[in-house]
Amino acid sequence: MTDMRDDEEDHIGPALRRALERRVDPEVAARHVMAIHRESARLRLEDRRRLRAARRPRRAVLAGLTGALILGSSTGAVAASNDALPGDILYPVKRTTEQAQLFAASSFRRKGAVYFDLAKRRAAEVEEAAVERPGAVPRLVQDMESSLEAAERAGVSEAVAAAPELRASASNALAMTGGSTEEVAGLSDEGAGSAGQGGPATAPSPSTNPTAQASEPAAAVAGPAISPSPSPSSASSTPASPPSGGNRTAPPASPPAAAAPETSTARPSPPSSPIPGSALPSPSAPVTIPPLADP
Amino acid sequence: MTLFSEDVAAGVRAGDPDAVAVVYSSLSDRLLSYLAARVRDRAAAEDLLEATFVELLQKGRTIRGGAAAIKVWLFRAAHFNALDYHRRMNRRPEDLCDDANGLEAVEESRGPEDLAIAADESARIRAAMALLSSEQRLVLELRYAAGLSAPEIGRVLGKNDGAVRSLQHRGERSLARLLSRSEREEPEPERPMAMTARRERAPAVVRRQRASLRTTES
Repeated sequence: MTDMRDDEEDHIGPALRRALERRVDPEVAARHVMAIHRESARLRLEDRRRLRAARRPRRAVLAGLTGALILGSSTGAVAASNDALPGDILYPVKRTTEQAQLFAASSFRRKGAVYFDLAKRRAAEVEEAAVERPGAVPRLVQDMESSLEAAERAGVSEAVAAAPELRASASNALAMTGGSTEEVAGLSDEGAGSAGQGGPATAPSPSTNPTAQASEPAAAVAGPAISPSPSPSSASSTPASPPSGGNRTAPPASPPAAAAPETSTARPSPPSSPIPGSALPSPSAPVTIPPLADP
Repeated sequence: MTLFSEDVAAGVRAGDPDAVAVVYSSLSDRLLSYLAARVRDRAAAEDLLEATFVELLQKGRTIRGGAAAIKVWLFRAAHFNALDYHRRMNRRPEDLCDDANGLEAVEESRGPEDLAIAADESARIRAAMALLSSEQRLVLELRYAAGLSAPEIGRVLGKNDGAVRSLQHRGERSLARLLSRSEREEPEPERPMAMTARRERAPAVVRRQRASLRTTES
């Protein structure tokens, strides 16, 4: 009896195996492995978000503070907004607070000091965003540059002294996050025009920027300096009309208008992130900085 | 026998997608075979295969043990995913008919005539399996489609070794009887297989198999 059973097993087995076995198609396998990697990237992004949320004030608690007045009241919101990065709920509060400070500076010289502070703030944001919000980096760098130039123009000697280092770390951060100077330049809108190629750029900028090409209009395609071009107009208009211009330009209009001579990439959405996990919240507009009008 | 290293296992537990991909290349065929046997629909089986591995990536850190534990975990996950599938589809496995994909099962070394005959045989085997008890069928699928050992099957199904072996043997015996009976009921196949019309005899491999499947009723 048992012999027969063994015999049967020997002969049924292979036939059974043949009847049941399947091979995965290579294309299907490739698809599945991609899905595995996608899921891994998604999980890592989730982890980072969770970490950041744990460090930053919780959304639910702060929801009520976003509409608060800047001057005077809600010092809590102002203080709490200090750590905010573009994309955080309190970031608008942060920027609006800064505008208020600018507005409050009575003299041009004092405004220069405020601008220097702002430049340092932006630089700090750039460093943090390089890790947590890579897509926001180009915009922040541009803003930093605007403020820095304004401070230099106002004759703040500390600003002039600190400028090279600030600009150097900004371009490091740009390089690290796969951004490019073209992107930063392409972000500008108002006032850039075709003149803005960096030719007439204010003195400090081109020389101090390590990555700047000879910023001539012709060299536009290669690699214009870190946004010296757009800044002249926006920065120079800033002291004159504090509330509206600020050191923030309105959300990028159509970059091509500004970047006309610049045939290169202009304005792609932020680089297809080399690191899958560093995908951004808002792929098309790198940074959601609302116009000053909106609280 | 496990097919990937303990380093890879550690990577899986750490949530490394490349490690999971290595496990995929080791075990996906076996998992697909098992899932296809369970759900009888190749596309659905492929989807479940993907879902199972994504789950491995997500939950890898909860697995205690090395490569062997991961292998068992995978087949367990596949097993339950297939069960969920059935619940969703609200069908019994026996009701589903074979898909033509059975033809893919054959080894590449065989010629077209062998393919035709083997396809017929595979179809008969699968039909016969549908007549077994669900537990016997499960065990045979885990043994021959998934390629698991009896202890591994026990861990997937939550049964002890003895129960698994007894189910396996009983299932095999029933299968053999069912197949031989159906064999005897059919005329010898020098016949309607279109591809083999010109041949006088079945190839040796099939003749040997038919001889062995023929059991005397005792």
